[in-house]
Amino acid sequence: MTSAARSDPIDSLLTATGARLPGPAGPREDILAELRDGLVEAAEANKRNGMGHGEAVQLALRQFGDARTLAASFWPEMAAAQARRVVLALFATAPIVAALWAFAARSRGSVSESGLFDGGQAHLAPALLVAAAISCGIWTIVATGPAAHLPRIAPQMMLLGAAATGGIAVLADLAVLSMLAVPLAGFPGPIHQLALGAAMLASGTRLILTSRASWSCLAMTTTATH
Amino acid sequence: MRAEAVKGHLDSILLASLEAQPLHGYAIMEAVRAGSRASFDLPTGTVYPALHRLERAGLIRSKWSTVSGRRRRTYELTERGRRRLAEERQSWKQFSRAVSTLLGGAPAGTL
Repeated sequence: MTSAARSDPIDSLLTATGARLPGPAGPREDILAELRDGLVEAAEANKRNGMGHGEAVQLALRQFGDARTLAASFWPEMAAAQARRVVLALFATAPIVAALWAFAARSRGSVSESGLFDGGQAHLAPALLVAAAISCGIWTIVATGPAAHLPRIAPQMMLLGAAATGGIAVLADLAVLSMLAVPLAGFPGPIHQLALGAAMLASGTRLILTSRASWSCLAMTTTATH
Repeated sequence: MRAEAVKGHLDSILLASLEAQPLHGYAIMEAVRAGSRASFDLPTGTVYPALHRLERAGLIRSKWSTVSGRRRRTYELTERGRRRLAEERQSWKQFSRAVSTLLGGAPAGTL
């Protein structure tokens, strides 16, 4: 029997387990690589105890459990990885989008001269939404990181935290977009129009990606297997 | 002994298993089994996710290497993890002394 054929039962288990693990590909590949190493080590230990290769592998497979059991046990880790990834992406892109809008506003002259922020409390809603999104995001980061060893926070709550962060961020982006895009569009100049286009493109892309990511977090809560 | 029996102490047991040296996941399960004289036979589905959770909490860290052509993840204690282990060990000593006294019927004044 070739070594490839001998590893088939392990490959089959890992393929079946991976198919049951939703969420980002990187953490899933890491989990499967770690399981492979553990399975091979277990089989080697069984062989050292006098078993033949086939028997040793089969016992290792039984020791590790079936694909359904393994996937269920790793589901919380995938949920945490998904939630953390979404929130970190939101936190990383927010300054970029904000900087593009600031540049677009400045490219037509002084922001104070533009009258963009003279609308009294009109900017209060976006500011509150941004503050709410940041709060939700920080909670999710803490729940999936430093607080991971504290009395258990349900993985579904991590995903809901990320989905809420994304949902509020979408509302905040829409509010900023509606507040800035129309007033700024009225000013001429190629550099200004280019800067405005870049800001709108960035906001639009972020809106689409954030909506998808939030939805994926919500959808993932329904895949919990325990 | 059933895995449920160690549920509340799983984190401490895993931290203790890494106190002497960095280990990979299967070696940790073996170390726990050997260290408990086969009393604790922790299932894979319990140990690996718990290790990942401890890493997210900053109590352990992992490194990847390649061994015999396959990727291997090895865990080691962080300084925060060592402090947590010391706290858990102290807490356990107090708890076990109290329970031993109660179950053994010793006078409460010895607690």
